[in-house]
Amino acid sequence: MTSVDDLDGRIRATIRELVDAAPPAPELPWLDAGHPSTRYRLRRRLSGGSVRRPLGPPTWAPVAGVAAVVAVAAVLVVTLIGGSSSPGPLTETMLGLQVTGYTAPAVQPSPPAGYQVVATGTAFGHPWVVAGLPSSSGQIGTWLAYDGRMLISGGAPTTAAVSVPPRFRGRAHIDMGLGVAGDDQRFLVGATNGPVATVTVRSRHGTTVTGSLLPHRLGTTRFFLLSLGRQGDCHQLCQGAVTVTVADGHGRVLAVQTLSDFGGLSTHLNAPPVTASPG
Amino acid sequence: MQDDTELYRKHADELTRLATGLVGPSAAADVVSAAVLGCIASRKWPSVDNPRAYLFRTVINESARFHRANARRTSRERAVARPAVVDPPEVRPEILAAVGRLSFRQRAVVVLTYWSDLDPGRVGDLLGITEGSVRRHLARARARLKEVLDDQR
Repeated sequence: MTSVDDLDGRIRATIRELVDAAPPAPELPWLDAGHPSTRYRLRRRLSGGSVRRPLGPPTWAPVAGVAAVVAVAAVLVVTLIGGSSSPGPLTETMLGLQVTGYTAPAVQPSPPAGYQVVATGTAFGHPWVVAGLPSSSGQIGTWLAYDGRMLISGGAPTTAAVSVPPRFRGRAHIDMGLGVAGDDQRFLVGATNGPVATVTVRSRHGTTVTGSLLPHRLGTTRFFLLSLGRQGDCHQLCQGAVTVTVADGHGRVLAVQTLSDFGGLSTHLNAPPVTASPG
Repeated sequence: MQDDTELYRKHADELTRLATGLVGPSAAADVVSAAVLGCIASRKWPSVDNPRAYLFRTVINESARFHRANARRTSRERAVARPAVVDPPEVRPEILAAVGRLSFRQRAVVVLTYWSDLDPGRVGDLLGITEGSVRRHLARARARLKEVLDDQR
């Protein structure tokens, strides 16, 4: 049996433990910006980026139109800058953390049926391969091999194969997963058919790393690969839950999701999918 | 603007802890950010007599809004997503299970009573409900928490 005082004490301890898990207070640099006349614009810009409060029908339509135009323009610019869309080797300077040092590539396993190789390179002296599902497959998925071993694999349908609530129809997808290699290096790999330009990973202690998408694409699907460092000396980025924020070329946040250890998820973005592959 | 910044710095940790109690650690920063943004963007803000109380009330309202939106979003996304989204591990699963059994209003009453040490009248003022309602929510929350906490023994 539980006495009243005992129950009160246990409830108080429970709530105390929950509250003590509070993260650091968020930095709000926009508090210093502008005067009252700018507040409305500030609010529109920031609230429009919150994935946890999806925009309602009255305001979504014009934003979607602008986002679509911006997305197409961004994709065109990225393609012009990025050059060829065919698979090719990348260095670790294109990953989230920049490192140096190369070794001869080892033999990599082959991606599963349906997956096509998107890009290859080396990181921390070990070869990696990113493969993905082409957009024509009606699915979105990624596969990562590192140092000769498959590390992450997953995918989800983007078509009407699953019942999609009306609110999410016509919205782009993102699929991503976390994995730790045999040498304790941790990676985030993902694919999206939305107008994503940057991927930011934040640890629960506030350490962040930001990376851009790989320049290669399969149809309208693009991919990203970020190194989160080696377990033990990475300021929490390489272990535990991390928060992933994806944004378009104008910094508008399209999704914010928390991934657990070795977690993966597929979700919608606050933007329509890119409908045409430039070039 | 400088006053807003100083005010936020002064109360940021307390607001974040309150939000953590109401929505959990993973969403607390977002809730605080949205609440502060809502405050300073409000036309009433310059004439608010007690900014601290206003901020606290706004965090509670934003938490309630998040709770509603998150419940809808989670149920929809579960229909189409792989079941791999979990809460951060910095809180023991038993704690999350205990507060997860409560409605938002019950959770808010419990947090404000047991963490903020507010009496039912003050809790009612913050939540916009009567003192009697606060007592009813608290009694139901205690009963549910008792079940969960006893099971965990």
